[in-house]
Amino acid sequence: MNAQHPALAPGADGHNPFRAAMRRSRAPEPATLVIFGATGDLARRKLLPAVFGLWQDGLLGSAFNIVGVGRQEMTDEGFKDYALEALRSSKETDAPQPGSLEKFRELLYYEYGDFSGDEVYDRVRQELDRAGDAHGGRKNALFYLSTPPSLFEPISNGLGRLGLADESEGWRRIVIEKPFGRDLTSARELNGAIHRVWDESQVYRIDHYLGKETVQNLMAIRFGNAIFEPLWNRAMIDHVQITAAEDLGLEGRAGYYEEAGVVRDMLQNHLLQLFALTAMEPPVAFDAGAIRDEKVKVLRAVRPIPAGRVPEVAAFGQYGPGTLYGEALPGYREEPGVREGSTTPTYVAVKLEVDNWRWQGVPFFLRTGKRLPKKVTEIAVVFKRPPLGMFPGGLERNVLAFRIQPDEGVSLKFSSKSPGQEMVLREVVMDFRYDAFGAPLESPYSRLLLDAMLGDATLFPREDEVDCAWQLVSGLLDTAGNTPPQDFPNYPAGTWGPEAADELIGPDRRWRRL
Amino acid sequence: MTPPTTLPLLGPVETSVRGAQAALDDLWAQTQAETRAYTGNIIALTVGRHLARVEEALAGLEGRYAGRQIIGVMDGPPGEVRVQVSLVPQPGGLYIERLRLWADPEGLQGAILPLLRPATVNHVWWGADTRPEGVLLSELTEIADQVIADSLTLDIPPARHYALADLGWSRSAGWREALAQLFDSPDAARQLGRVRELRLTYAGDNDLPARLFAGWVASTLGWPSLEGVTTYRPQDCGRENGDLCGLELRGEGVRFTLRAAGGDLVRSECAWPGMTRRTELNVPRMTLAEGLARVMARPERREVFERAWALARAQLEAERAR
Repeated sequence: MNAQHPALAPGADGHNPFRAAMRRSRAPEPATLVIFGATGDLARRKLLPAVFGLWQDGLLGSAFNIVGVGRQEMTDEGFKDYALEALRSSKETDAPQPGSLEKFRELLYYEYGDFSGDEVYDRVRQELDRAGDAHGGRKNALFYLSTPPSLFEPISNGLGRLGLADESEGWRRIVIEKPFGRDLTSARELNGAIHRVWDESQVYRIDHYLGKETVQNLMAIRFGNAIFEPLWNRAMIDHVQITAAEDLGLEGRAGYYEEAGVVRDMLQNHLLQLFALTAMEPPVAFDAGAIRDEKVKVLRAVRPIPAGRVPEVAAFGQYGPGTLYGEALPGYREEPGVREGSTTPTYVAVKLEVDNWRWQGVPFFLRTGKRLPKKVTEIAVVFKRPPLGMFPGGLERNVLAFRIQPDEGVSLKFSSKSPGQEMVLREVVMDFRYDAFGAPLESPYSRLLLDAMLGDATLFPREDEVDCAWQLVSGLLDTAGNTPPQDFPNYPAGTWGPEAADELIGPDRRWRRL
Repeated sequence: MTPPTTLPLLGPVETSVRGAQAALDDLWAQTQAETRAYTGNIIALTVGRHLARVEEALAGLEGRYAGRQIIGVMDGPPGEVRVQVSLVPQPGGLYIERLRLWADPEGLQGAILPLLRPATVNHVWWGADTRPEGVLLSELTEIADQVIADSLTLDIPPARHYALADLGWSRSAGWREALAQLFDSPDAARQLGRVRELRLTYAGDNDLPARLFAGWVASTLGWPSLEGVTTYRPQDCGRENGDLCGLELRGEGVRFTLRAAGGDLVRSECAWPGMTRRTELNVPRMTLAEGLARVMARPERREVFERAWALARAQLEAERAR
C-alpha cells in the first residue's frame, strides 16, 4: 500500500470518509436526548416507542442515551421501569428483539425538579457531562419539550441560564411541540423568548403532519415527476380543496379545546402546512433552507384576511347532537367540561387566494372539523373543464387527489368512454394506494426525531413560517372571539359541516364527497 | 410495527404459461382485494435443492419491492414447462403474485419473458450455485434493471445496463454503518491516515462478504489493493454463515475494533495516543429476506459497490493464480 501524505489522507480534514456513500448522508453523532415531560402522555405513547425503534434499528449512533426530566419525583430505576412498561403497552412499539428492551433500559436516566429553578438544569448538565465522558468528549444534546406550552419559556430560559444552549462542547438543539403560541402576539413573544437563548438554527418546531410519509410523498410526486408541474398553475387548475376531517369529538380534552378551538388546533398548523407544500414553487434543492424559503414565499403571497373579510372567505361551525356509526352523540355544548353556551368553533372552512403568477384566480378551499362523518385527510387538485363539450352529457373536471390518511395514496379522476354503442362518457378513477407497497408506515415521530438528531430541519416549520401562518389566521381568531355566531350549533354531529361552507365554495363547485 | 398476516395462501394452481394470467385473475377474484402491487418483477432462478430456501426468502419480501415473483427452477423436465401460480399473503396485509416454473433453461427463457408484468422494474436473482450461462441469462440480463448474484464466484461482472448487487454485500450493511460511526468524531477521523492494515473475522466458512467489506474499506481509504493489508479468519461468534464477527483497523499507534458480543450487540474500541474510547452498538442481523429487500431498495450508489467488488475480485484472482 502506498502511504499517502498525511494532509491528503482520508479523514485528515476531520470529515468521515465512510459516510460519503452511506444510506443516509450521516448518522447522528453521539448524543443525549433530554425529554422534558418524560412521564407525559405524548412521551409514553409516541416518543419512547419512536426512539426505541430507531435505536433497535441501529440508527442512533454508537453512543446514545436518554435523560427523562419531569416534576414528578422518581429514581432512575423507577423511570426505567416506567419507560419499559410504556414500550410494552404502546401499539406503536416495534417488536422487540430478544434482550433489546433490557439493553435499551440501560440507556435511560431520570432527573426531576422545579422547572422555574436552577437545580434541575444543573442535574441535566451533570448528566451531559457524564454522557460526554462516555461519548468521547462530545456533549451533544437534543432537548425535547414534551410539556404544556406554558412551560416552553421557563424551560428554555432555565437551559439558557445554566449555559446548556452553548455549543462549544457539542451541538445543542431544542424541539418544541405545537401549539407554538396561541395567537400572533404570543407566538412572537415566545419566539423572542426562545431567541434570547437559542439561535434559530437550533430550534426545531415540530408539526407531526410533516413527518407523515404521505405528506412527504406530496413533494415526491410534485417534484419527482415531469408530468405534473406543467399542469400545476392557473391555466389548468380550477381550485384546490384541502380537507382534514375528524370523526372524534373532544375525547376528554375539553379544557384544551375550549381555549384552542379549531383554528389553533388544526388550521394554523397542519392545514396551512399542507397548503404551503401544495402551492409552493419548486425549491432549488431538497434541503431545509430551500424548502422553507418557498413555503414562506407562498404563505406571504396569500391575500390577508382581516376581520372585515372573514364573512366573505370563511365559515365557522359547531356541532350539535347527531348520530355517527349508528350511535347517538351529544352536541359540543353537551360534552363534559365544555362551558354552557360555548361559542368555540369546532369547524372552519376558509378560502385562500394566492396573489402570485402561478395561482392568481385559483382559490384554495381548506376545511377541517370535529364530528364529521369520517376521519380523512386529503388534498384534491381540481382541474378546469375541457374547453369544448364534444360528447353527450356534462363535462366533468379531472381531480388529482392525495390522500394523507387513511387509505394513503394518490388517485386521478378522468372521463372514459363507457362500453356500448353510444359515445357516453363516465368518470373513472385511476388509483395508487400506498399500501400496495405492503409496508407499514413509519411513525412520523421517529422520522422527525431522527432528523432533529441529524440536524436536518427540512420538515420543521421555521420561525417566519409560523409567523406568517399566525398572521393569516389572526382575523379568523378575532372574529371567532369577538363576534360569536348566533347560530351555533349549526351542524349535527356526523354530517359534513354547516351549510355556510357550501355557500363558501360557490355555485359551480362542491366539496369532495369523501 | 408489521402485523402478522391473517390472510390465507391462495393456490397453488397448476396451469400453463398461456393460462397463468387468467389463473391469477381467478385467485384475485377470491380475495375481493382492490389493490394489486404493480411495483415490479423479481425473477429468481434456482435449482430444486435450493427452492425451499429461495421461497423462504421471497416469502418475507414485501410487495413494495416486487408485486410479482417468478421462480424459475432450472433443473425441471426437459422439453416441457410446468407452471403453478399462487397469491402469497404479505406481512403488511396484501397479496403478491407468485409463479413457479419448472423447465430446462431454454424452456424457462420462453416462459418467463411473456409472464413479466410490463413497464415496471425487473430484478433478476441468481439463486443457485451453478455458474450462469446461455441464452436464459443473457435474455434476462437484457431486460434486468438489477442482477442480484453471488458476484465474486459467479462470472457476472458489473455492466452498464443493469446494476449488479450481492446479498453478501447487503448483509454487511450494519457493519459498514457501525464502522462509519466510529469515525463520526472528527478526532477519530483524523487518525485514519495512520491506518495500514485491516483484519476481519467471519462466521462459518463463507469469507466472500468479508472480502467485499474489505474492498469497501480499502476503496474508501484510497488503498490501491487488498494484497498484503487484509486478513480473513473464521470465528465462531453465533452469527450466520458469512456474517462478520469483527474487524480491526490498525496502524502506527492506532487501533479501531468492532467485536460481535452476543445477540445484536457489538463492542467497539478506538485507541490512539492519549485516547481510549469504548462504546456499544446495535448491529442488527439480517435475514435472507431482509438482505434481499435491502438490495432491491438500492439504497447505495452502484459505483460504491463496484469499486469494492473490483478490489475484492482482484485479490481473489491473485490468490487463485498463486
